[in-house]
Amino acid sequence: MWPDTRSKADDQTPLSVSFPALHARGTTRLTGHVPKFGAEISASPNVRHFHVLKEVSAQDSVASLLFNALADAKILTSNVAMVLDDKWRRGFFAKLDRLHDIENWEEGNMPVQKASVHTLLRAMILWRPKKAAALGLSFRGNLIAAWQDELDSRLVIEFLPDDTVTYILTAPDGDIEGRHSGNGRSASLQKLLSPFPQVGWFDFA
Amino acid sequence: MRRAGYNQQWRDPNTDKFVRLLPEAFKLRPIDKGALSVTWLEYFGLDYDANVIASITKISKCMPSSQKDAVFAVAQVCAIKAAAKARGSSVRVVYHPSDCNPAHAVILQLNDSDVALLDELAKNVFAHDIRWRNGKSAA
Repeated sequence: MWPDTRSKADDQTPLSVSFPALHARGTTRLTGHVPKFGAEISASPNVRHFHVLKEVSAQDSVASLLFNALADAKILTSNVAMVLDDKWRRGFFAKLDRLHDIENWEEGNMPVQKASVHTLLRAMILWRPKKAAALGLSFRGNLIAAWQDELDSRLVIEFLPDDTVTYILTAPDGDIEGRHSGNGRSASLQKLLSPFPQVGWFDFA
Repeated sequence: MRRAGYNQQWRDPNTDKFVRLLPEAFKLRPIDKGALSVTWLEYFGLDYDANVIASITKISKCMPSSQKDAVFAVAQVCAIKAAAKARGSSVRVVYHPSDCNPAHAVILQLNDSDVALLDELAKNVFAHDIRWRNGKSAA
């Protein structure tokens, strides 16, 4: 269950949860460089020079790119762990790992962007979803969450920077599928969904 | 046939089992230059299942990374066009062989900002036959 912060003082409500700057924690960033000692290159008989050769394979470069992005996302999430459902957080971390599996990585795609993680975390705190969401990743590194029910109603949301979300809601409407799409701030999703029964998928703060 | 990597798939949040494609699977990346990459099954001139296997094999050989959990989704050209038309747009499916894939084709004029269209492609148009790399059914 999501921690209930709604009864606390204003400065402790989910809407006022702050996201400390990542670098304030003194994180160390991997560079993906594998230093190797190079051969002697100087022609001087009395002076020997050695250069340190840095060999960066494409694989190392991608691996460190993914590692750094994952680390940033998890550190950002840990900063607000006290207001997140613990089971949700563990599942989120496991899914992030799978989304960044190097054996599935597509060249040219961006790993998860911190700005998208920020928007998603804020959204999860505000929306308090009652159902687990499928999680995907756009080629721009934006997280995508998707919910559905047994009647095949579906809600797919992409978490963009600056607390912006885009959504598409699909629900059976007689013998056709009705679709409603739009965008807005994460705080406005309740209002956007209010005409539809799918608003009950969330326990909005 | 359209390939979709793991990140573009709707996976059950509890079991990670494949459910369907996400609309993201039809978004255009800058490298696409406005042309969504697909493979033309009938190029291989075999029966349907053999065409599917041949297409998967060819696409997989052209992928720079293993993408072990990629899926390959089949759709009919007429259904793609009908989906676009229902959304007030039109697309062209054009044969466009590449150095690596002689069966390569592209979908042109796809309005990938129309999320409802992408959702229709994911949910219905490219949903009837989805395979893993080994040719087995994913759905």
